[in-house]
Amino acid sequence: MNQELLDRIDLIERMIGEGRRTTQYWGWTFVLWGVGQLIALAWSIYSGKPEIAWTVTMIACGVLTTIGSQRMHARERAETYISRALGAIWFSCGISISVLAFIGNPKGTLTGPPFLAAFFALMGFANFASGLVLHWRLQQGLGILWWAAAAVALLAPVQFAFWTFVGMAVVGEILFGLYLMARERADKPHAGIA
Amino acid sequence: MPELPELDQVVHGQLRLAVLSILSTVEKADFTYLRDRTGSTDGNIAAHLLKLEQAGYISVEKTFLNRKPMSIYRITETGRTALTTYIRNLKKLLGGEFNKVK
Repeated sequence: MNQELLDRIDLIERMIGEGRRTTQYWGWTFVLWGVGQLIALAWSIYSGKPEIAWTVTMIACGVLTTIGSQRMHARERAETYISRALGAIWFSCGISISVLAFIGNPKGTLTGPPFLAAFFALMGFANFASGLVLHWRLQQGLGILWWAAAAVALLAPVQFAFWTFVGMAVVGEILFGLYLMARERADKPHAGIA
Repeated sequence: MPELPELDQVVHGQLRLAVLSILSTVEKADFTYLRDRTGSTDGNIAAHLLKLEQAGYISVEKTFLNRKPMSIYRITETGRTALTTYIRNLKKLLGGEFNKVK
């Protein structure tokens, strides 16, 4: 009898583990947006038309993210509260950045280092909040790094803010995204259809 | 000596317990997901899901995805309470052995 009951406990633990392993794979979005920002930056420098470069690149990134996430949702067979919480954080962050970028920037009311500081602070908020939800110190640390970048953008000379942007796109988005993708790849054989 | 509790037989079934455990950690899951995660067959899991539904432990929503019918399952409050009570009773029945497992 006791063995049967112990088997039930083992079963509960295994199944709870299966449910918790239901994760979505978002590493690619970090890489996409990081690369997109660097492309937009290079395009705007060389063409001298930053409005077109940033608008086209960011809209393209937004469309690709929407298509990719819709495909992921179609494949997804279960939804967890954590995935919904993370989705809410990043969706709200994306909308906030879009409002600042597409209204404040062209109107000239929020440009240069103040815009970068707002962007960095929002990225810090989203990464730190995600890190708290996931109990993941690395992403919490990344959030702090984004906040530090926001402070640099506000305090340091303009030139420094520009290089901080490049550095954060590489470290905070592209490299972090690649690291996430590597982790996700390692997890996939166990994660089944999730 | 305190009276030993009885285990809820609807929850106690292996496959039903597996389904309830999974659903307690996700917001919702579809039929295929539950079948694959439990390593069951269509017919077997369908029968157990129906039993859980009839007990009011899970709810089902019939929908369509790309014109294909899809059943989405969620654990109900009654189901969550039943699972919690079941685990509490298991703990009482196993006494010290439960802590060894933990």
